[in-house]
Amino acid sequence: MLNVNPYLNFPGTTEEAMNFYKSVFGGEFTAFARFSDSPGHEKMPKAEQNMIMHAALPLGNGHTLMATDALESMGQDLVTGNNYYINLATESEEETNRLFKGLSAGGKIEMPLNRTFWGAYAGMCRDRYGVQWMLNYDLSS
Amino acid sequence: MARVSTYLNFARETEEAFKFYQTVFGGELTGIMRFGEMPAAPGMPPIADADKNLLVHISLEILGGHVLMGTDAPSSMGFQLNFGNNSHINLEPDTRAEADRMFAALSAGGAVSMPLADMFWGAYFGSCTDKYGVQWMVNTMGK
Repeated sequence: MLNVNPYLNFPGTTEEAMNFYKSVFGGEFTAFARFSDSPGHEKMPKAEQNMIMHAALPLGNGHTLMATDALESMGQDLVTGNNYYINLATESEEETNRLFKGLSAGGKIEMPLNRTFWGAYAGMCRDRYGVQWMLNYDLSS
Repeated sequence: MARVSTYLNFARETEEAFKFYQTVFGGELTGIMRFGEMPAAPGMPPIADADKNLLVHISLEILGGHVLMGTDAPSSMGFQLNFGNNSHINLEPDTRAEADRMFAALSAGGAVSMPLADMFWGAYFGSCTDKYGVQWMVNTMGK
């Protein structure tokens, strides 16, 4: 099946970050592989062998959050930008409040949840790992 | 229905970028709203004439029902946009032919980070940054 998923990079904090997302969204990882599971890992620095090569957490309705650790030894110089948001269309105010509180804990609220001119209960935050989220509950739904 | 979509920010190129994505994925550009059409908010400075045509919102369904959305974030309104390399949009087309087509189109004028090739996890995979700075991964298990 055709699929589109957000794929995040973290500087060695994928395991911690993905467990944080699991605590917010619930569910179980469908993939959680370390670089030590990959061919040729013996040549990698020890510390990087334990890092996460691929982790996947289903968010519901076929959407999966995926992530990997960026490797310094591979010259992967990570720059955390602010041009990208994961937008969650939620199904109730209660769910929106719960997810927003969970995701923004220890992070930064950019726009508190409020009733917007486009008819939604919406908010924006940057979580403690630098990932940006928008939550949007369509009040007409 | 609950769903997860991708929301991109560009300085002033959202419309151009989305027209480019439309050439890659097809579909219709929907939900278009310009800054000049926004209701005036109390306490907010008026929108400069040069910014009125910029986009507050646009959306395009790309693959498998996933919706790509975007907005302009111009420095004239105080936005400080940093293009990071920590997020990719991962496309999983059904066939290698589709993967080849999409990858060629998305990387045109941009930069290929990893050319499409067979990977040890069994997929035909590649990654690139498009000419607007958005990072894509193409991964297919299909023939």
